[in-house]
Amino acid sequence: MTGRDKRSVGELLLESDHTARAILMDVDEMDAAPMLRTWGEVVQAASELWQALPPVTPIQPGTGEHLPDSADLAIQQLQAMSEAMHRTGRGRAWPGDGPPDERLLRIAESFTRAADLISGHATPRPPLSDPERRDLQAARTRIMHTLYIGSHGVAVAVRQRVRELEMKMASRRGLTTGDSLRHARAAHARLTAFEQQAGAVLACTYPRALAGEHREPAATGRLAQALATWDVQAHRTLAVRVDTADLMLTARTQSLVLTAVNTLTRVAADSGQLDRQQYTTRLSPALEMSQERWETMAGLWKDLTPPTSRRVDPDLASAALETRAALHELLRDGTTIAHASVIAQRTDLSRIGRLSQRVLATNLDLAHATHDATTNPELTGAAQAVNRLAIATRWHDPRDPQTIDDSPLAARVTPRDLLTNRAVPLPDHVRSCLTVAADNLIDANRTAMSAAASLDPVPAQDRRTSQDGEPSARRGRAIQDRTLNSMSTGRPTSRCER
Amino acid sequence: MMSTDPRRTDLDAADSLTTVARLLARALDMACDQAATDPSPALRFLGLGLNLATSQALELLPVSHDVDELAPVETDPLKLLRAAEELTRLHPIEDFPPGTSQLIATICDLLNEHAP
Repeated sequence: MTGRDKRSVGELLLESDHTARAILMDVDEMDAAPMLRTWGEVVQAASELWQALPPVTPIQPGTGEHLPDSADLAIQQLQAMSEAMHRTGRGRAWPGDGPPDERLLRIAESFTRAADLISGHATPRPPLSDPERRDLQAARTRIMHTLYIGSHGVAVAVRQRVRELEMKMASRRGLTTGDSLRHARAAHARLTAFEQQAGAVLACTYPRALAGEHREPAATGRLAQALATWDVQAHRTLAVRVDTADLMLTARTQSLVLTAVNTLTRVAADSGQLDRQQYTTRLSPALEMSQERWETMAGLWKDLTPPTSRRVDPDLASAALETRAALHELLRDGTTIAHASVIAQRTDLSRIGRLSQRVLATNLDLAHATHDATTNPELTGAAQAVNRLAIATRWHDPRDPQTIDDSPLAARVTPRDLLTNRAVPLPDHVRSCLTVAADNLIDANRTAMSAAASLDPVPAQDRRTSQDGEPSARRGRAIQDRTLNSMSTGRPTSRCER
Repeated sequence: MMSTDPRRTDLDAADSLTTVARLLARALDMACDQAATDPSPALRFLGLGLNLATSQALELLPVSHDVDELAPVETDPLKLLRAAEELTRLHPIEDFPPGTSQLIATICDLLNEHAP
């Protein structure tokens, strides 16, 4: 025995999948901190392996390049979500530094080994034969499935920790240094969003991708691609710089995206593709609230952007432009919003439910990225807006001895700064105000994601019955009986974390 | 009578471009104020479109240009947008910096979408 790993790529992927499943079975061995610490490595390795696989889309005439398909974009989104979560945890006492989770580390190592094997045999890629293409789709599905199961395992472990901390607090025992219920809850919410995103990819592609013949309708395809590109770019931009102009554009784009999702799901519900009652009672109010909160954030960022710093990251602007154009193509008719029948002609309404679930999962993660920005010490704001916010927040804080003093000097913004309205550091009061707004944003988006997760597509048979005007047995099913998929077991319901 | 001094023409175009950016920034602010109380999807489309157009205009100006100085008094975002479009017609396109044609196309698209 030389000790050299002789497993094939297929065997490495299969073992990774099995290891992820095994983690779920060994609930007693779950320790949230090491798992959370190691999870980023798993996603990173999965992403690198994905990049090493041959592309599944044909070469574009003229450019000689392959365009990414929806799963390619999804893995980029998952990578961006994971990096954002890792950045948030950096420097915090929990999960902090320490040993990794050995099982997750094994998965990451298997992925890395598989990527090395593929890269080591890289040759010019001829058109793939049918068996090769099926094998490639199976490998991609296996990677995505491992991420799906793995994220669920880490989420379950983090959920256990949240419960422990809640019980500690309920029994009036103080939390020890490094324990933070808020951080644990935030990590859990982000893992749930990750899991939903990976699950949506599997649910959308698994059977059809194996058949190898599926093609998305053009309009929804463009929108899905634009939204995925937007999500990845927003994460990238917010990761490399904290700038109120970028944050404003992000918030405004998210507001438009949620408005559009609300319109599309309404049309889908009206046409019988989605459960109308679920839409009316849960999803629509949640989407409106979420959209309002993004609009509030956009207003705050607008006020805090100094006049000389209105420029946004060109890549972010480009992604927002394409997102707006894709939404415009679907929803606008001249100067007004298109009639439902026109929207129905332009897109495949049966795919709107899944698209909404993916959008709302990534939406929650962007809300967390926004929250991270509010706590970043490098964040600055326009002096005049900072001054106004400082006075307003002090005014409502009875503990502050300067509450009744609303002079500009009391807000620690100099008259010179006020005159030029230049960027100044944020006083604690103002930062707290922004963090509270971002907390509210996260709450609203978590509710929206939860509402979308319970949005059942109406089966074709029920749609026909419904259109005939007769009640349907399945449509009459109790709300609590509806779940998106089997992995929902144990997942928190709306507001259960509050 | 048109000026024959090219430097003078360039300066005028640069001034006009600054005013275009100023008008767009003001239109954006006004659209945002309206959107705060009006949930209309049309206003969301307009707001984001103006945000991107303002950003495009600022990319064409020197860094640290303050476009909020001397803000126009007009409060209707579409009138401000139309004024910006009219201003771009005062000069031949070659007098503007490279990239202005994209900005003009964006402004015209926004006008077509919201006030044809």
